[in-house]
Amino acid sequence: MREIIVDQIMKQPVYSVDVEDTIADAIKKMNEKGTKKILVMEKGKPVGVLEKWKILESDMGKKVKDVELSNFKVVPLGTVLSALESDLLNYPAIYIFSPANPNKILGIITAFDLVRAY
Amino acid sequence: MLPYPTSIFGYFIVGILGAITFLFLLLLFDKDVAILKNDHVKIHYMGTLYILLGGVLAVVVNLAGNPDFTANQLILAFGTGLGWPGIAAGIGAGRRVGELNQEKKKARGLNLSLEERTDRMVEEARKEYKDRLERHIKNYEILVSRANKQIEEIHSFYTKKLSSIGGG
Repeated sequence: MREIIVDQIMKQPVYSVDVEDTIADAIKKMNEKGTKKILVMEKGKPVGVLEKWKILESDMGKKVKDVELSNFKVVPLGTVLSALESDLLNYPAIYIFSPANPNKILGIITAFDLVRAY
Repeated sequence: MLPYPTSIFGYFIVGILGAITFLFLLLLFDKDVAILKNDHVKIHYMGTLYILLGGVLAVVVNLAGNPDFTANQLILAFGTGLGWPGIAAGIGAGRRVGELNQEKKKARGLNLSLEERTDRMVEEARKEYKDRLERHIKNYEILVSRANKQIEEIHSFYTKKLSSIGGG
């Protein structure tokens, strides 16, 4: 069977918020973009993933850096999808970066994309 | 009556006439005159050679038996000229039958290889679909496992939150 690489199925663009943004802003952005998770950046570097289900009403006034973020994994462009099976099981999302610039996140894949890919 | 050696000329002419008759008959049934086709010699040269050789053959055959040309020899000389391209055509037809048999064998071979190829393609398609099905099952298992893991995470998260506010 043909090998699929992450470049072929990753979703773009990747939406992000800054750790200094408020949770309310992050929720607003997630609603606008129709996503349930958003990448959190600090000084231009990815530091975690904010998932909607982890946000409580009481968090609305807080900053992104004050709530619990989920772990994530980054892989370079060209990574074979079948090599990421256990990662897709353990992480809410895998982000794909450009080998030329590891801080530049180009796409995102989740376990749903694995099913969609074949 | 033409005495020898004048008879040579007589036999030659009558043989040529026989060959011309044959070629005319041939043209009636085969517009392409396949036996005259040659990769190296043009068709009108081939036609001329056929006719001349008909005459030569008539001379050779008849002169040995009867050096003098008489009325009795007329039919034999004409028949020789008429018949020799027929022999050549027969040889050509035999060769064509051989070619056709070869083509038939080749076609059988192609047919066989077509069956083999079809079998191989069916086998490959079967394998591909089997692999794809297994792949889909595996992917859905991963997705279900991921969903179960997330349910556990959510449960753990809210249990922790509840206990932190004293509700658990």
